[in-house]
Amino acid sequence: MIDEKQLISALKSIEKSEKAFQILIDQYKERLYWHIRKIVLNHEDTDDILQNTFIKIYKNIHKFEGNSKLFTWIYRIATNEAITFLNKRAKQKNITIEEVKNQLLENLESDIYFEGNQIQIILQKAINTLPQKQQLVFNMKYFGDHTYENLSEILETSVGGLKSSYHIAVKKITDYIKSNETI
Amino acid sequence: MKSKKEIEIFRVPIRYFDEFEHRLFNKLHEEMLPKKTGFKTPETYFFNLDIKLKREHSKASTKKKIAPVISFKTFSYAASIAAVAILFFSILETSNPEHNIKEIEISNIENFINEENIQLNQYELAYLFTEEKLNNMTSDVTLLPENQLEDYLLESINDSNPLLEY
Repeated sequence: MIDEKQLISALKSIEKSEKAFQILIDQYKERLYWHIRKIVLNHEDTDDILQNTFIKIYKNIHKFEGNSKLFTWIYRIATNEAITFLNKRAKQKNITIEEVKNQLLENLESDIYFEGNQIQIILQKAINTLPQKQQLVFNMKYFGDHTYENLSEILETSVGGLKSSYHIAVKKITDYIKSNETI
Repeated sequence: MKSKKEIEIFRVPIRYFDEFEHRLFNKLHEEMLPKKTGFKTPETYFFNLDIKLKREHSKASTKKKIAPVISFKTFSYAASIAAVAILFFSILETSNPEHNIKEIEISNIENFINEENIQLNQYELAYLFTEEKLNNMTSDVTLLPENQLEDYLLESINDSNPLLEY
């Protein structure tokens, strides 16, 4: 595994950037994919956003000053790209971002790239009832298995605040599932 | 039952037992939730992604190698001078008493801004407010105590703007 400083240096160098970019893609493509997918829900949109994320990383790596870890910077780009995408779609359709996600959730059952059962659909609906940032905290902690320290860097929120937010999210989701589960 | 020796040696964090039940139930709730999202990808998606990204990377590299005829710096200087000239002449034009901004209805101005026909960012808008105006705006606002503010923000805000700056 290449050292992060070496990777950043190679990404900024004209001769080594192509190979370094390949290494970056290998290291991050799956993690970023699933991170974005949990925000926008469908595969096609995720694919577009993921590609835009990597292009943005490539075009802006010279601006990365190393004040945070590389993965923190990359995750922030991916998160912003996903949220910007949802905002744009909401604006185009003249609806709220919640309504955009509700529409995406309605399509989930018929989505060929969704193999979840009824409880997993309800779980996604439950997550969608949370405030935007709390959704991120829940998805990244529960499914992404990030540590609170990593999340604190990515989301620029204190560890204490994140723990509180996460536990509130779990409670809300559990209550939603209990009241919406059909026997 | 702990021996006297064990009680002396071992310690627990403050309020550990008081908070234990709360933490346990949090953990139990979490255990109840499905472990997977149910999302999947097309076969060979990640393999094909490499190829797509390499193509995009080549396009982006090629664009970088083409040197512009007019540098961006020169263009931006010229554009700034043109903008100042236009502003100067438009001020001269608007000093004509027949064309007074007060005659334009407030609702028309609001519509113009809301339809994003004017590209103002929050910093430009903030700059237009004097301290007196700001003080008058905030004087009748009830502020939350700091310890409740973070909880309120985490629970309640559903901000549609990107959350993070990079």
